Amino acid sequence: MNIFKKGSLSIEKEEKNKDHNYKDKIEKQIEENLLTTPKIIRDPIHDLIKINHKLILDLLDTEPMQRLRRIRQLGVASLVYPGAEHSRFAHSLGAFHLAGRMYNQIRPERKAADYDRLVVQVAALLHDLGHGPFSHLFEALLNELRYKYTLSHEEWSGSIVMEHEEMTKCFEEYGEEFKSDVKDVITGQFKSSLLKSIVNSQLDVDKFDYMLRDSFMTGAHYGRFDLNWMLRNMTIKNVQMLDEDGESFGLEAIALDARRGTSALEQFLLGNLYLYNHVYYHKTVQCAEGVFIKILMRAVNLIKEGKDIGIENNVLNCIVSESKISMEDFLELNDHLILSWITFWSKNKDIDKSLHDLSLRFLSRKLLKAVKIEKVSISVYERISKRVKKILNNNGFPPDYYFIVSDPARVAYKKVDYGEIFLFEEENNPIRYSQINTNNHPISGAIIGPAKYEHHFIIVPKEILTEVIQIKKEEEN
Amino acid sequence: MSILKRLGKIKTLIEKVGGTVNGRKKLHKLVYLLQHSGDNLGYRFVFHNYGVFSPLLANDLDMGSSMNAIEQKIIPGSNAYKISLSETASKMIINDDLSSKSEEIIEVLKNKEPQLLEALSTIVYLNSNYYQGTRLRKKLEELKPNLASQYDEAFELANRLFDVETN
Repeated sequence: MNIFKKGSLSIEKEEKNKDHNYKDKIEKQIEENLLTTPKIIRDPIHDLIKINHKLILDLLDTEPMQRLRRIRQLGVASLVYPGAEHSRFAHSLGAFHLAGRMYNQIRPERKAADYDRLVVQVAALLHDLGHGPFSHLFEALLNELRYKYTLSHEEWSGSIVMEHEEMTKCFEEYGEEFKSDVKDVITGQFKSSLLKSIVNSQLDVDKFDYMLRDSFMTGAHYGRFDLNWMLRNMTIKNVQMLDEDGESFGLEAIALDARRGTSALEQFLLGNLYLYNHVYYHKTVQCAEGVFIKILMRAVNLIKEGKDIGIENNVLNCIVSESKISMEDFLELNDHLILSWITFWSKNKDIDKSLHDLSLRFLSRKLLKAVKIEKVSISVYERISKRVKKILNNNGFPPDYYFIVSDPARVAYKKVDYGEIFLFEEENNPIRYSQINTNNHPISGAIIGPAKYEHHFIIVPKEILTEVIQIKKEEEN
Repeated sequence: MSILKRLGKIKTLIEKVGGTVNGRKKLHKLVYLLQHSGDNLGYRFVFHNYGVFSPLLANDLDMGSSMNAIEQKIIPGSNAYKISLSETASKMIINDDLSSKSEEIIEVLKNKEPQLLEALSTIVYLNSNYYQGTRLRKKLEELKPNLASQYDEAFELANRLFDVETN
């Protein structure tokens, strides 16, 4: 199928001309606002980050962007990796920087005031605006609570780009369509899959930055890879995609030189998997995340019961009343605010025993403890859960808040449906990474396999740990 | 939300559809639409070349298969997978209820083709991400020209089931 088959050629040409005229006009504006003296920001990962456009400086100064300084990139992981205090702000700057580098690599012929380059760099800079406090934990909380108006952080980011007053002002000179294009790259609705893939794919600047930054800041160096070599060996290719319905269509995609780049790609994919296994899915990180979520669940449930939790907040009220959270209220949330609540609850035992105890455990890092389940099936879980909950009740721990199931899983490479990585060999047609000859590339064979990690933990108070380990042994045998 | 809880919802969904979902695409689109209607099944969706897609759902299906609870078999002569429950699924996963609104939606959509669900879920996604009226239609034509034959029915369903204004 030809993706342009619907319109006649003349309509298609007319549309393209309209598009070019619009872009030409905006590019003049972009050119006017290029900085003659770029601003330089020092960064521990990329060394000097050069900002050569006024729009980027304007956006950096907005409240939604500055708020990202108060959201930790790795949520509660600093309880395990003390260095992991870096923010979404630093990561966003890194993603912006890399988007420019990747774009320059694949489209070296484009001028400085190129429309697409600025769109993709701005999208990379703003792609995480929609993260809630402690990054992914806020989304996890809303899922636990089965909140019905949950949005992905990409959709929140899109809303903020479109609606926030300061953002709108920044974009004014570039027109509504430019702003909408930035939003579309972030939310995946942009027409060019090429630009979208720079910001969101299996080989995107988001991963490039977070892997290097998280490795550096945690001291767990699994996520390091040969970034410069990967970038150097990227180019644009036309690829054929085969839809599940059997329809094939062509699109422009970023492809990696197979001969030169496969080892770097393997290092990147395995590094990502190791980071998940050792950092993001570390069992104590899972315990801290579980306690964090239970604290806020308890707070929400207390409000539902009509109790005064000593905190008045519109987002909590919206969750309780099953109404939509406004952008303004959402943007009020950050790590500092939530930590101030938890500190308050840790000091006020009269509000609620569980809320107080869990808050205290979180702040003093006397977390619940994880027990690994080896044999996963509903019957094993059920039997263990039933017995553990009984013990919890006998010891005065309400199971709703002191019994946590955590089962994170990660595959090294997703070969289904979206974002496949493409490789090329000289003049041959590009192939999907999942089609690589695994006789020549045995490590790739294992990665595509798929190499994966999955963990199954039940998380309980230390006070009953010995009994739970005994139960686990009995039920698994 | 734990994987077993999420799979509990997916199990119920597969049963309500009639025991087999023809195509991963169809399943992803259905789950997205149920979540959009307010039934939180625990998945985050992104929009890619084939429309809304949840990496976590893809992962859960693979996990369900490795637990021998879910079967994914390629439909002969196609690129699509037939997704069904294994005979031992009930020993591995406990059903979790879907909302009554979800059940209504499944009843209407269960026999529809994946292409229709792709058009419908794209309309719903665009509508909740700043596209309305003629801009929505134009964007749909830009992103999914191959689904033109599905537009009319998809818009009608978007209006009827998800309150998308189609004028």
